[in-house]
Amino acid sequence: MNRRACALVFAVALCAGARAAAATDSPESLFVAGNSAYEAGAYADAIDRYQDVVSAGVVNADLYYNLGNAYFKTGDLGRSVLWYERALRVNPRSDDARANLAMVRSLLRDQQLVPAQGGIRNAVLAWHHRLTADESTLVALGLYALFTIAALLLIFRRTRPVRALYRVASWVSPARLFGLTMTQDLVLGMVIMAALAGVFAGSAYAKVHESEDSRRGVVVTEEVAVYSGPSEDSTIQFKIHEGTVVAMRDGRSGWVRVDLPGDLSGWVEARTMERI
Amino acid sequence: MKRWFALMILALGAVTGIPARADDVSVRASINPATVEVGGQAMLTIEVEGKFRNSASPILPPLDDFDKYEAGTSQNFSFVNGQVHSSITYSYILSPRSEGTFKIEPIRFQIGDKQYTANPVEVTVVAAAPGVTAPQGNAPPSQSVPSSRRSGDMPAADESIFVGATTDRDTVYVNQQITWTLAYYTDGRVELLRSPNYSPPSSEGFWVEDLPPQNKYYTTLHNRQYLVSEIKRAYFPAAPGTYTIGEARVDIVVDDFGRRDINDFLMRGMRGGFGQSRTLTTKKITVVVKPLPEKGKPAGFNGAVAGNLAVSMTADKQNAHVGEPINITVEINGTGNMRTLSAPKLTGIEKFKSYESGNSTDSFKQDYIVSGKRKFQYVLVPQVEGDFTIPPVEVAYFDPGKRSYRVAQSAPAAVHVEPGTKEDGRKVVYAGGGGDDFEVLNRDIRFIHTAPASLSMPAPPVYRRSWFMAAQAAPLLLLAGALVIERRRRRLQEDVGFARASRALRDADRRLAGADAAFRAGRAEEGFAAMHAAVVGYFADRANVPPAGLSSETIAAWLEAQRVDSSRIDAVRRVIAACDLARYAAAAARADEGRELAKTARETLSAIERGIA
Repeated sequence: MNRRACALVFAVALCAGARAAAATDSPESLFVAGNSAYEAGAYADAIDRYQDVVSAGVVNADLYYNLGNAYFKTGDLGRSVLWYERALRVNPRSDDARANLAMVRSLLRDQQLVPAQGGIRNAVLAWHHRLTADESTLVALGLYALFTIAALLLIFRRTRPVRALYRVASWVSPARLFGLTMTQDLVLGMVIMAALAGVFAGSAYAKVHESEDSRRGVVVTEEVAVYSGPSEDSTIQFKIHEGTVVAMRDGRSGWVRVDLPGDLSGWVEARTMERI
Repeated sequence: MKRWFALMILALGAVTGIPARADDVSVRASINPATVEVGGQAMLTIEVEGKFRNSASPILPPLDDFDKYEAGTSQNFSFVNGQVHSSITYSYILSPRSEGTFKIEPIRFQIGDKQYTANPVEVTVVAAAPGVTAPQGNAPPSQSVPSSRRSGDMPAADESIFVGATTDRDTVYVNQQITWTLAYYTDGRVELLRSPNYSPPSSEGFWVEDLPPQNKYYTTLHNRQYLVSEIKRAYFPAAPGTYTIGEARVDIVVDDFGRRDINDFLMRGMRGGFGQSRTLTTKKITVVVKPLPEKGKPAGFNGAVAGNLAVSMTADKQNAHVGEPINITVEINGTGNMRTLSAPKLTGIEKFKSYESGNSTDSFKQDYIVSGKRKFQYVLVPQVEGDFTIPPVEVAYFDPGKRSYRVAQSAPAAVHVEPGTKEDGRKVVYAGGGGDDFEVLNRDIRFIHTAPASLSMPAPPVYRRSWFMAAQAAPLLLLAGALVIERRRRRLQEDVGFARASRALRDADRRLAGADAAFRAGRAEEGFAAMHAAVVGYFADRANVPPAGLSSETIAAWLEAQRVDSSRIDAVRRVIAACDLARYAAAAARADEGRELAKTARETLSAIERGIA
């Protein structure tokens, strides 16, 4: 009995025990059991433990990230991409999930369908990609509050306390450099706050819209034929492979319509896809 | 304006310009030989390579000094890692009519919505050597008409131009090559006004490959010498049965000026056309395609028909780690239509995850026999450590030349797989100075997160929480209130009457409180004076007039104008009269009566305020 065999027996015993206790264990203990199974190399059992936590209704970026890792270790690249994407949806600033997703993407077969990294558009929208819907909403609300304060100051600009306050605050206002009056300064501030609030509200709306519609999906089987219609009698237009992310549109009796880059579109069996 | 226009033209040129080489497609043209005699032949070859699926035929520039013949097309197509890579070679035979140096201007291609241009090529045409009547190249000076030529294609005794089609065999196996030849005969007595235009025969039921052209040669028929030009194609039947290779057509325009009178010449000249158009057609050829024999068919045979197949298998690495991809290439060489070979199955790879990652075909047409090299690529990802031998790849095929089945086999491939340990993933060596290179030995995913921040149930999103709508509405309400307050504040500053009316009751209350205090202190006279000032002052503020001289009657008249109830007006009169009496007859001033009157005054003023407001 060598050390590896001992470790395997330990992992199996650990997982068997964990499985027996799964029904009553807290999400935290299931998560820890999943981590232990992962570290022992029992990736399938780690997946079971993590999935138990997911089934309990927990939404957590670390949990999703670990699931992505465990699926990767079992060679299931499709579900690995799925859970990394879900982790990034919960925590868009997870550098680990982003790095692992990039690595998994480099192993996918449909390289020409992998979203391009970099570029001006991604650089401009980097802030959007790194905020959650809630964060964007709160930032928009904060900017709305600042807009309201600026509007109140503008309304009461003739009162003595507001003038006194502005005399102090104007020292830090960049508008002072341009010789703006108090009214111009406040109006400029309101316009800037309103514009920024609109931008962040738009970002929040886009994320909520994408999240609620679950419009993106991942191929979770090794190869999927994309038909011209929702039937196996239709023409097979092309094939896509595990891990490819597609835009999912309307579905119909076990079939779902998918859109891909380059105006490619078709129907696939719904069982071959998972919504992110 | 002009500058803008010029910029727009420049921008348009940049967008629609014709690049000599794009990132994804390259086009090359060449001619061989670069020096050729008048009446000789040079091969113009145009190669298109890159990532594309379909392309139109090349658009050749005008070649007025040459006779031009299409000499076939060869296409290779591969799909590697989901990316298409194509290479198409178009061949043309150019036969110069006159001496000189000719530059063939760029040849254009349309691929999708992009246009590509090949490099220009130059060819030098020299005079034919005196006394040489034999053709160019390696062909013999004179050849007989092919023996398999159909009798219907034989020329009449005085025919100057005619065509004939032949095949090298009329009974073949499925997917066995049939070489079809079109021969174009001319005895030189008739002058062509334009290059012959060739239309290939229909090829339903066949996979067709154009073959390179044979050089021209001379032959003798009916005691007359003919110059023969040939076009060849290879046909591969797809299924057993009886098939027909259709008619080929050659359209020519011959000079018939000698047989026309001058009026006809002028009429045809006005219509812009001289010469007589003729269409030469070949006979159809019937081919019998036999099915492959059942006898001796090996297990795993999947329809491959070829000759002299050789199979090899190579791995890009002999040592790998668990999870590290190994690229396997299986190469099959042989004669026949190699494109129809399907991918051989790798066996004994249960410990690997396998993917087919692409295939490609290179075709050759040496001596009019189609042969090729077909490559299949696989990716194997080892799942466990150990020493493995990938068994030989076997390809069963039918050799039509030998009329028997055969099995070609590669050598096995050995692979040593080491565990993909954590240490391997960490073996990242940083340069320690002295210019050593940084090296990443292995890549792996980042480790799991062992301590989550929280595993609680998800809270509803912010936009669904109860306070969210309140947070949206509160600033609006706040701003509306602020606007009202600011407006009132400014009116109070600017409108004296409004300001006095606004504070009239407050001032009256203050004065009545003073009166009440005086009554309590027993200073009845002072109390009545204060009460008088409060009541009269109130109405002075409300009416925005000075209090001096404001009599009881004036106040009553103002109140009547304001439609105040008469009982209130009487109460006001009573209060003012009592105050006046106490002020002017001090002995009548009683403190207890004053307090009661002050209370009445307060109630009356409050009621009047509510009524007026």
